[in-house]
Amino acid sequence: MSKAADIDNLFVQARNSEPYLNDQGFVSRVTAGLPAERKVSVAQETVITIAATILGGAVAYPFFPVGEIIALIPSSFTITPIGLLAASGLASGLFYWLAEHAAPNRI
Amino acid sequence: MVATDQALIERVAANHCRDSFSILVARHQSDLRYSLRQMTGWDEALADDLAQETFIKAFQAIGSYKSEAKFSSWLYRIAYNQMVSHFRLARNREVTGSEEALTSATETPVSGELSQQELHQDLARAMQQLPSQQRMVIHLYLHRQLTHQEICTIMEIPLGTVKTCITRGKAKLRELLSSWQNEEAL
Repeated sequence: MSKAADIDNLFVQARNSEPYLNDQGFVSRVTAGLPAERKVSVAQETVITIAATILGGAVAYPFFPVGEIIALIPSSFTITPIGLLAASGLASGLFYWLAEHAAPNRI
Repeated sequence: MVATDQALIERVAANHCRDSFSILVARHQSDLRYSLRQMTGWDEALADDLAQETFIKAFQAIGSYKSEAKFSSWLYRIAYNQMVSHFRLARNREVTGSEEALTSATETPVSGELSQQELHQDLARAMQQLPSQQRMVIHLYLHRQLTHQEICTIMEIPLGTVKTCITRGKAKLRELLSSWQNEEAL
């Protein structure tokens, strides 16, 4: 190290003498820590998923009781004052919780 | 024919090709591990752990890599974030580490002719005295010879901060080296 302790020169020396660090199993350790290799690409996986969903839907449709399920949906709702009060209370609680958790650092 | 970094990255991004990524790791491991040793006071085990985490993060996020930047710059960015996270989680350890490094730095007399290995280690110990951000900026600027703008991009900090880090970091290092010289004179 020079007497002048010149920082720039010190870094020049370090840069010029930077050692090459041998692998020593480093690459193998990194490779072992990687997530599993994809057998198919993301695009192929998406196409397969969509195709399987459409096929499954087509097969299940004739056996699915669509009419019966639609008939179960009520045509009108009746809300009592107590029910309305309970719903308001739940909604207020939900909004309060969301406000508290949305900005935890706000003073 | 040797595949370019970009070609290898495209293969990894397309189907998570591990062989291509292994070539990238082999190409860049030495530089990154050396840089992280400089960042961690030449703690070889910690530097290698951080480098390993950096490469794994890079593999997972390879889809977000933009080819305008050098792959090595992108790696430095991930490595810096890894290092900051590590020291944030172990803040007490960082303080202790800095104190140990200070003791070591001031107690180690510097002879006129340092061996190359001592030069790298002593430099790393001195760098340990700087805050993480300053340390990284100084290393990228003085050792890796990146431009101010490249450092801004890698570390996502303003240009003014980069310049301030360089000025203050160099002043601090000069001060540390000065104390070593005084000990040498005694």
